[in-house]
Amino acid sequence: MRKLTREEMHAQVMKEIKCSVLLAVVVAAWHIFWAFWLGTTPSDDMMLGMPAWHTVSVGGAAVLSIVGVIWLVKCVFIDFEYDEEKEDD
Amino acid sequence: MSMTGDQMMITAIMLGYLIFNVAVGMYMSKRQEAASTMSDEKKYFIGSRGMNGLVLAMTTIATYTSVSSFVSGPGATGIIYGYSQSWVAAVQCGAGFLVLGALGNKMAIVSRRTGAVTIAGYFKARYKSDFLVVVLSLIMVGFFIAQMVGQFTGGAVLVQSVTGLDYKVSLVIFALVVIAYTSFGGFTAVVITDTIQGIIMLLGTFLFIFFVFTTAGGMDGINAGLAQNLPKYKELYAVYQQPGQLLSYWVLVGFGVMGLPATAVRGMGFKSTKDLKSALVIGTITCIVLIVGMHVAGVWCGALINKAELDAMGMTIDGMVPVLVQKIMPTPIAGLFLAAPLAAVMSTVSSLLILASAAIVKDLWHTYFVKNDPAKTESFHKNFSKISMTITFLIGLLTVIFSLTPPQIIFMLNIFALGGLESSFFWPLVGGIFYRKGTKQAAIASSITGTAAYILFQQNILPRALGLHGVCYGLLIGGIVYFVVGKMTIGKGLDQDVLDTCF
Repeated sequence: MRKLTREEMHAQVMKEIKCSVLLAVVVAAWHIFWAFWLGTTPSDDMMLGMPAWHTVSVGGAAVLSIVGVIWLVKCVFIDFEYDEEKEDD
Repeated sequence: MSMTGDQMMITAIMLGYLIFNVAVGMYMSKRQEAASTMSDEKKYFIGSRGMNGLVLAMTTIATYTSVSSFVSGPGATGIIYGYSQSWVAAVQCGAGFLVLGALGNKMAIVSRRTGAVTIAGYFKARYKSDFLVVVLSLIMVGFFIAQMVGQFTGGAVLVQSVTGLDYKVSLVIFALVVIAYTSFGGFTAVVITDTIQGIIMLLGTFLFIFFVFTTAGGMDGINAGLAQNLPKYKELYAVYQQPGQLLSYWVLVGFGVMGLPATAVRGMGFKSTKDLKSALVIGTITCIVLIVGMHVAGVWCGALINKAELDAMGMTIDGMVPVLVQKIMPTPIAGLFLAAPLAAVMSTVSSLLILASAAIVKDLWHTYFVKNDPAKTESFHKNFSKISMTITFLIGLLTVIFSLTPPQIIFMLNIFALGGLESSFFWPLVGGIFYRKGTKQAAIASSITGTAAYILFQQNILPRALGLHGVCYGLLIGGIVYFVVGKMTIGKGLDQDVLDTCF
């Protein structure tokens, strides 16, 4: 577990917040884009037994969320102590 | 009314499940109490900040998912909306990582620095405004009671429909269990039972998908049945006629959930950053399986039952899941499955109940009645357990009384409270984290105007362009007010101790 200064801790947390929101924006964009691109006119296109617009939009958003959250945990979030902070230089 | 053999078996399984929850909740709470050296307040309201990753993930998702996720939502997809409602539900894929990822570490750090154990405690430290704490606590208690009434009603209707017991008897049995373990066990009992309930919900979802899929004859049978029962099942615009209606859900059950106090408070209760990271992964996967799984299978149910059949049985769309489950699952498995929506209700109610109690005991009573009076403070700490248990019990009792005359549409009641809470809390909570010009005046003005705008637009007193949900206007207007008023009132900046503890 790393010990961070107050400023480092604040910067790290802000980075985590921005990346989490960014991931949500990407998932939202995928979910909305494919539904409206493929689903606004009645169509018989099917994928995995369900309407193609639904499978691509919902299935893709689910996969993107899981892959994205693994990226967050591996590359953005770090382990650090909450209580003990090292002195600011 | 006499019960059939199947009803007796289902009733026995449900009762067993309810008793199991009370026993585990009480036992774990006592164990935690003995092991922790923290104050009674921290033990009761935040479980000594001892949640691990699994518990954090499950309690966050179990609190967030409710009777709508298991009964009303899937019923709506199968009987009226088809895949368009399943698409709407999938917006919640992001809820797990958004709440924990964006708020988790920040709430953990600030609550440790300030000693806050409630969301209002955070507001007190961040904005130093008694007025804001009072306003938000009252709004919170009001909306929580509305949400709990919806949940209790849903739970009681469910118990009634599958056991044949009278509605009032069902309500009292069910409500007493939740009130008992929440009142006596506090936050620890709530999160431990949430974890059990989360696991039961996952199991229930898999059972539901399996039995609906096989009974309907796979995707060919499902599509043939849907074409007959629900001709517009494939269409995105099956019922929603404007893009604004669909997109609104990304605000209401997507980004807006960051402003929900019941989920945000979870950030104050976990042990370490490692636990948060595990919770992010477990919570996201669990949320997707539960929400998408239940709603897609809900659409498939439309192949097995239609509105005319439900009408003939005197049921609303909320009756679809209980009726179908008893029809397609062997009785013992149906009993096990029906514990899942019951679990969803219990986990949501218990979390709201403990928060409403915290708002009254800690944020209102302690702050404004006890204040800094040494004699009152001593008496408060000495009698803390009794006071908390009594208040929790009384709020629960009040909610049961309100639930005796049940609202017709649980789904809408829940949605109304959700938008109201988001409009009130979003900017003071989320804006307060990063905006250094966010003053108490900004938070108060934003909360009041956001809530007012939400009600005016949602009730169609003001016209809603593009069919957008009222929460979009509540958050937009609340946000503008927060930033503008903050800029106008910041003066020489926030107090140094606020900057030290909250940034």
